[in-house]
Amino acid sequence: MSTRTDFRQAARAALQDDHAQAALATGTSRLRDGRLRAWGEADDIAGLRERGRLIRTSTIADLDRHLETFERSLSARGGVVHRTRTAEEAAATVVSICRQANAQLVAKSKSMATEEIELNRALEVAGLKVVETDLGEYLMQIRGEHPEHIVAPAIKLTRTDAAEALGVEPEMDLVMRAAREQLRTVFQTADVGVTGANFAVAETGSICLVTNEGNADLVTALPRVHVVVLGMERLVPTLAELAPLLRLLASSATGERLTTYTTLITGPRRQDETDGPEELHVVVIDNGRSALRGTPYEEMLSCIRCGACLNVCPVYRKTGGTAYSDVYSGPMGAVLVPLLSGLEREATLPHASSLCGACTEACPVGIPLHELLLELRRDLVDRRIGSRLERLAFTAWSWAWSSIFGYRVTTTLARLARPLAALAGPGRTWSRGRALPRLSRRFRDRP
Amino acid sequence: MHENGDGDAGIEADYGIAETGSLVFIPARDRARASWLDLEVLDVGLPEEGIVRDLESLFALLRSDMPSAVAIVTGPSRTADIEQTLVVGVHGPREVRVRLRSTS
Repeated sequence: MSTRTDFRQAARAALQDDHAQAALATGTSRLRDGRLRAWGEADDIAGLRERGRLIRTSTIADLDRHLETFERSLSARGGVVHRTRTAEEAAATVVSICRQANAQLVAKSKSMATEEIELNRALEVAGLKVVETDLGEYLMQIRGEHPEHIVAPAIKLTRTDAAEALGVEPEMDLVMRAAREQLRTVFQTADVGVTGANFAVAETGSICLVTNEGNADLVTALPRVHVVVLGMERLVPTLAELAPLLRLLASSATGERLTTYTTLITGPRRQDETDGPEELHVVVIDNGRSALRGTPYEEMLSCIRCGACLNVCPVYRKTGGTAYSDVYSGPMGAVLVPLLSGLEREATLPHASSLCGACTEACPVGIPLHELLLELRRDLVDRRIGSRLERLAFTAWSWAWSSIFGYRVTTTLARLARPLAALAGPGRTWSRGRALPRLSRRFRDRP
Repeated sequence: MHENGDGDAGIEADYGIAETGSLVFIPARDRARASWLDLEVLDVGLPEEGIVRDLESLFALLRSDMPSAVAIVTGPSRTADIEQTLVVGVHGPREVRVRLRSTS
């Protein structure tokens, strides 16, 4: 999260790109329709969502205990848990694990947590080669771009873009084959495999990973060291509670009953086993999360990163992910990024919403996203962050309309000045695509 | 899906999950990790008695002694990363065939 976002400016640039506009419209609609179909087919989706919400909120309420249980269970299975406070500390921990393993090549499976701590950059600075193995992320990495969507990172790419990145003809089959071959070599020669974690099960010390491609299975099987970057809030107390969350994640993210490859890793290779990593490290990242507990924003920690809110957001659907920041985007990003990196730094993001509430309706675990965005805007005002002009306008307005005289003068002026309003300022922007509404006469002036 | 086929299957699954049509591989026992990703067409043998009702039933069986790795596989390797078009076989099989073996 190194770049400070000016959402409006970035969004304007994104809106100029017709090619991306079309790709975003198709991509997000397809993902949204998939979710709605899967939810429609489920036995009792309302019940499942409520159960998911309760599991998430009760886990977060008792997070310290679950983290301790997780650490104890994993240690008993030979895994090592590293607790880190900041993004820098987390990245440095992974770098030092790689150094100790004398690693040169790191294979990665898609993980937003590693994007959040800017792990690739840290590893590259330390002289390691890092290769993303999710097809979409691999293509984005070759193109020098960051993931555009938390579930579909290459949502804006066409097959021509993909073929160009891999140096083949624009045929889907050729793209697949080229990627498969190039990445197979990576899996076989990588020294360290780095993954995120969709969930971590406290009672068994297991890491749960889901992919549709199968790349996480390869990343966790072949390299001799496996490093997991785990957001501290991704805990689930028991396996029994993991099951409903897996159903919610798969149906909400891609409209499936279950993600194709759902894998549980519990410790490194055991004594009688012939393959699998010799070491398993879990780097737990806080990076601002624990500060949200006990605040009105605690519910944001329930997020399971399914991307459902992105696919329905009228803002995200037009701007795509790059307008937000380098990591989380859409409504969940507009809430989470200011909370993790500071409202002062990301003051424009709470405004990246029309407050229509589509995100809240789509959220499988019931996070009131649009209300949290409003809460953030309230904080912006309370803490006097943001546009001075806006603050001045609202102060003047509140002062003027507090007296009958001020009210009469301003409304009369507004009615008289209406024909001029389309010439400059916000009136001009508004009237570019629509007619300015007529101001009706005040009741007391009506004949 | 081929039912009750005989002959030797490419790989054996430990469990099946009825709810999701999934195959469960526990690599630690008798096969290499990620071996279910090696072939373009994956032929899987599944004993009928290994079929459990749902995810919860599977987890209840494994919970007391979790293996180091459990893979729940539902269908072929796929991606819709490019143009949101479903393509199979990116890292693993393009096709998964299951031979259900009755115990009697």
